[in-house]
Amino acid sequence: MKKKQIIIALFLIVLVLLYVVVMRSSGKEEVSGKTSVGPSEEAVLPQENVPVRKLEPDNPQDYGMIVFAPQDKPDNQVEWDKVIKETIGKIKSGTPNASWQAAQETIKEDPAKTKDKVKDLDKRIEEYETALRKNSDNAFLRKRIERLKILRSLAEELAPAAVSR
Amino acid sequence: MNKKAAVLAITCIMAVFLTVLGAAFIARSVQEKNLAVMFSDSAESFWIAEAGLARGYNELSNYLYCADALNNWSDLEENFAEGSYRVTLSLCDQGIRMQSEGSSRSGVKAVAAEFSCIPFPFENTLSAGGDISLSGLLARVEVYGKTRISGSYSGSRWASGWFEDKVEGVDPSQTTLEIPDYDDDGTTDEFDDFVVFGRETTSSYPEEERVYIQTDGDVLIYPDSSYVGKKVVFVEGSSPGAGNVFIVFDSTWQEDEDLTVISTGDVSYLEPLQFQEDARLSVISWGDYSEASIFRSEHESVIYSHHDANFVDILDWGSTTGNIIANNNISLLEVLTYEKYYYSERALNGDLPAGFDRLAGGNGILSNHLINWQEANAVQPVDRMQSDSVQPAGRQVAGRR
Repeated sequence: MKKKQIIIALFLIVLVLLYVVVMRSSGKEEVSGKTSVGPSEEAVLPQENVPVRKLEPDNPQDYGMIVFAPQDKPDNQVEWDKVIKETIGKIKSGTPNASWQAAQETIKEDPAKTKDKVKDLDKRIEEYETALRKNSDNAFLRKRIERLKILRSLAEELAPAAVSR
Repeated sequence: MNKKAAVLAITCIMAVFLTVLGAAFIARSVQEKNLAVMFSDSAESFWIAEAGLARGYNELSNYLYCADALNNWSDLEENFAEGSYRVTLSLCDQGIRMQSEGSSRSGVKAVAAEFSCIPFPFENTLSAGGDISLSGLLARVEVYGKTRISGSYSGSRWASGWFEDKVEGVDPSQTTLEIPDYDDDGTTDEFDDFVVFGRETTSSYPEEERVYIQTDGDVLIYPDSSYVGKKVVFVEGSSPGAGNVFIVFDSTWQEDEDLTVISTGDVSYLEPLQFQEDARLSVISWGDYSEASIFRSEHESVIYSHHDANFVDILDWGSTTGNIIANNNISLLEVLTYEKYYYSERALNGDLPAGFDRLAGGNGILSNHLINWQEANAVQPVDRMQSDSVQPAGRQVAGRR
């Protein structure tokens, strides 16, 4: 009889323990549900979601760029002509014929007009180079001459018929 | 007697087994119910956050300028449906960030939207922090839209300038752009700020959309097919004026191309010619910007020079559409023909070329175009009271308005 009571008592204790365990675990889920809805909650204001990507310098040649070190920079018309000829050649070969023709059509003009403009460029270059010899520190003038030389080379490549040396 | 005891023991074991099984089922049911409630609350809180964002957007539309919005904004905390939302405003790199947190019973969700601040000079066709001068022989320059000059305008006797709307002596905040304090040393508008600005702008684009060159030499760029899809080219020199760029003949540009060339030196744009629809090539230079052409030139660009913008030696008629901003002077020097400048609303409408969205900081015209939307991290309900003292994320800039 005593054994029977012990077994029933043990059985009841196990039942009570199971009840407690089940209730506690479901209670925990309810509490945790209040503070962890979704994976991203944190107790801070968010930083901007701008992706941070590693920045490695690219190789200029991969993009057809020409980089001139200060000592290697073209400093006369012949050298600029060579660089621009190469450049325009690359542009032309990498461009569909129709697009290239459209570009040519857009800038097309009377060859005599181009000739006059090239003469004007030559005159300006000469004039500014004379001025630069008098004031060699004038960086604005030096850059201007450089731009004019590039323009002259461009004229020679884009309207070769009109430009004669 | 032993038999009875054995039956009792077996009965108890069976009862325990069945109880464990039942308890597991109950636990599983409770868990599933909780998950369902959590999911439902989460979804509800998300849509409440969305409602908050819509309410915030409506409130934000009352402000014309970013600085006004930031200074006068008071957080919106309102009940909505079965929960509530809280809408806050803060400064971010590209303008203003609005965050809305929705909560519904156990759910908390947050969504954030960003609006760009369009720098004031984007209202103008030409903006000069210094003077504008025009010289040339029988030349004519026409500027449509607004011309705003902090200094004064001067023209030579042989050249005529026509301006649709020109105002001299305006506040520099309307004509110039200041580089925000990107290196966080407390001072804005330094060369180091410009370098960090260039790096951050470039690194914000994926590899296939950017080119990053480090050199102290001069770089000749001819935009061809290898630039299709590129958004930014950054040529970084080690000191101010190093890393000059020549952009040569972009007539083979393609439709919808939109590239910004950033340089720590000078940028010269030679023989520009874009006739493709919606193509745009823009420039941000620490040094001078110069443009020259021998043939007809036509292009759409947003030009920003931290120093001067020179339109020099333009030997044929041309037109520029967009916005030209020089912190110092704009020179239209020895123009031989007929040059026209047209205003483009693209930038003002929020369609800013790469990099320009990072130059406004918290100053500028508030764009109503959404530039970013994302689900954000929410502040836990228990921490909400503390969050009032948290400073908004983002770079601080010197107030200029």
